[in-house]
Amino acid sequence: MLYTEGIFLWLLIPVAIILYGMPSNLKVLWLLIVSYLFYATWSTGYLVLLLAISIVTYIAPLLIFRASSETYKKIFLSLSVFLLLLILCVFKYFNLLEILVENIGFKIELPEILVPIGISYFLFKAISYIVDVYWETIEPEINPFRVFLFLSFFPQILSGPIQRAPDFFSQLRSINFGILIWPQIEIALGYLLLGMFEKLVLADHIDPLVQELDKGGIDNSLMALFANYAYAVQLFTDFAGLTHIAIGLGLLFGITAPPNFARPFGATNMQIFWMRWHMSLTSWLKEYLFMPLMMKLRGLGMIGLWFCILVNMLLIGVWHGSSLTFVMFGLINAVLLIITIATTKIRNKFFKKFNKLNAIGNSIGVILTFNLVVFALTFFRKSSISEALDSINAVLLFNINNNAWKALTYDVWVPGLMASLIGFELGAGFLGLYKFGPWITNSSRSFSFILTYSIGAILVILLASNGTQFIYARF
Amino acid sequence: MKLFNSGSRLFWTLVVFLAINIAIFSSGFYAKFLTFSSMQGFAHHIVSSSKDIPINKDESIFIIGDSRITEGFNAGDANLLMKNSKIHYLNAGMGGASLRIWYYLLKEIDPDANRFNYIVVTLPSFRNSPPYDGGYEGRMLDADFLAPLISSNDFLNFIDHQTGYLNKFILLNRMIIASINYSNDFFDLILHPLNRIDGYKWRKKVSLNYGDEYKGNTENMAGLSIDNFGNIVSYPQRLSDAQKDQILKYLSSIKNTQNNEIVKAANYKNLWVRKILDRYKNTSTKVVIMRIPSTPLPVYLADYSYPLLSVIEENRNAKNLIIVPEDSFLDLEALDNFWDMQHLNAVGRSRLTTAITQKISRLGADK
Repeated sequence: MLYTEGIFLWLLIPVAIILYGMPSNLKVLWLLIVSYLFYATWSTGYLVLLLAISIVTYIAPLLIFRASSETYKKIFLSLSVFLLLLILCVFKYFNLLEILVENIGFKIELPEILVPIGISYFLFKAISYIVDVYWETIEPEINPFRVFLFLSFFPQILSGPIQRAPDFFSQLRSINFGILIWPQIEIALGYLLLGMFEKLVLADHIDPLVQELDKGGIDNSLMALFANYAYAVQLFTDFAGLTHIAIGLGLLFGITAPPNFARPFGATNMQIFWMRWHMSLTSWLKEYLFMPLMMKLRGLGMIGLWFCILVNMLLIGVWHGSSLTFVMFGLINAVLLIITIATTKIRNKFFKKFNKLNAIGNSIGVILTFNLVVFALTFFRKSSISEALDSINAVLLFNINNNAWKALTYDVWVPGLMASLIGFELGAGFLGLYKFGPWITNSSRSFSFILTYSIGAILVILLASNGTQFIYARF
Repeated sequence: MKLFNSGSRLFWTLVVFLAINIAIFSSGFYAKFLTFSSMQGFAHHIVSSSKDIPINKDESIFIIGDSRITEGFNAGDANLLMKNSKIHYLNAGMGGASLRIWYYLLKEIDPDANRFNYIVVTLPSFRNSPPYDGGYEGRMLDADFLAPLISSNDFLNFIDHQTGYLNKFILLNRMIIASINYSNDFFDLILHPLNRIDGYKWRKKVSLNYGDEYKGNTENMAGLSIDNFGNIVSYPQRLSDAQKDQILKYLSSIKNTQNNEIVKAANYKNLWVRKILDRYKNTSTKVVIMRIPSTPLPVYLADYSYPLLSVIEENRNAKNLIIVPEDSFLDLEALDNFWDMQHLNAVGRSRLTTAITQKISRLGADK
């Protein structure tokens, strides 16, 4: 079942009403049942896997907490994290084995394993919870249903955001959990509307434009470049839409999820970009991988830092899948980040000396960063390295076959272009559209609120393209 | 100044949302401006024109069906042929229209079941044969046709006849939030506003005579041949690979139709033809059931090997029902008369128009 399906949205109403009306000690159980039912609409088989992972995630922290010595704690931590990573590798990277074996001259045929939906998200949540207990950031949760819900909470299970256990559990214990709070419902509906708009009106109208530009890009370099630009905006609107829907859904039940984006296309360098893009994943990796690794390698100075960046970015790449294109995506971003950090001092010195050039520098920074992101995403979106190189080659060949433009369909390029421009603005924030949300929910603007929400909902319905699967749901 | 608290703001948002839906979309206001080039807009044009057109009851012959009759019959030419008689043809065929759609639309066009002298129901087959109407009992597309045109009561009845609980739910959703029915059309409106204005004026002008100038598709299927096992031996030279593929798929869908699908389709056809007949049972309007040419490959399809629809068997002697002999237009089922696997071309259109006018003019005598 998709978040954008009518039946899903209608079912939310009884789910929420029952939650608001039931005794507080049953609310977690109710949401857990609903979450499992939701997951079962995707796969009943993998629901068993989710349950098994949930049991490990419940027991491991208790064992770590009650272990009599540091050695036992480490053993329980290592075993549980190893088991979870093994599950992730088996389901997500099993097929890579076939390719690797083929590359060394042998041929094996392995059974095809379908990746359970949301596995990368709920396994990362599970690992962070176990590590948090080991680090004594939190005490283990005694109520198993809360742990099970933490992993399976249906607004977040498909594609995050990757929420941390301390944040989630504290909200479950809050008096606001599962209570009808109208101002919160207003904000929740605003997020849902924004998410639907980003996905159904923007991303799904950019998709056919990307496909047509890709076709024309074979003969026309500018079209090949625009295809890559449009894809970057499509990916952002698709994923931001999914995140906003997840945040809105969570808020309906009293759970505030972390944000994933903060105007990434307005970033003036790659370092800032990665602080604003898929934030729940990058902050997870920063806390559980980058920082601990940095501590270990602090004696190596800049070399240590660069190594940590390389490992971190490669992991971001392969987190998306087992294809070599994702490795390349991570590698390119690592190189770009290292260059950015290595040149920080020089750039700062220059702009300190010529501070009047700051505005120009920022503008150039935004354009350069966006283009570098688009370059890296070429590897992200293509199914093989050679396809990605062909795509880059198509841009660099400077082919100018103007007939290729004529093949663009009016009904595709006009809505696609409009959606791309709006999507870019939402991702860059130059015109300040992002301020509209807080402005409209202000309690003194009732008429504007009523008209915006009601007409906005109708426009989303009327302008929606036929819903397709979210890009990030496959990771 | 704070006029509303959050709860009442949301309540009024819901009220305004539903009010806009009712005022613009459920009321039929938006539907007046639908594009003619979509099936939905085309159906709206046919129904609204049929409702508005002045009709002399004693002369009117109202022909209903799908794109086969739209392509295969020219009402303007038929009226010219019959200009000395008291017969006036109205061709209301519309692409994609099913028997179920026509049952509900007839209730709109002819609310008291007394506007027409004859209502001609055109069918591509009188038999329980594949693939006509396969899967139609659960076809969600029907809602696109009906939503802008029929009353809430009829729409509820339509939902009741829809198969599958999820489908029923989706349709109910589309009834409550009527704007859902127009998302494709609205996009077209934004992209082509001037076309829409021109189209609106043109529709007003041409009414049901929109197809009088259309002489039919000039291509034909000569060159298509099939062996005894149903394998294609040769294609017409003019066809592209995609068109060839379409033919292949069409034939394989006939070959691979399961028995249970044929039974379901037969039940569907019997149900909705019966409903149309029942509606006109005790009225002065006569219902004519007519098999029209439906394939350029009659030998291969051979629908004679299948049993007759029970509704036809049972009502053979019904008072105000006329069943045109099944083989009346079979000679038109030839490669030269078709431009694809279902539709007559210009030659076929002209021939069928003449044949129908001759047949209909003798209806009283035949009965």
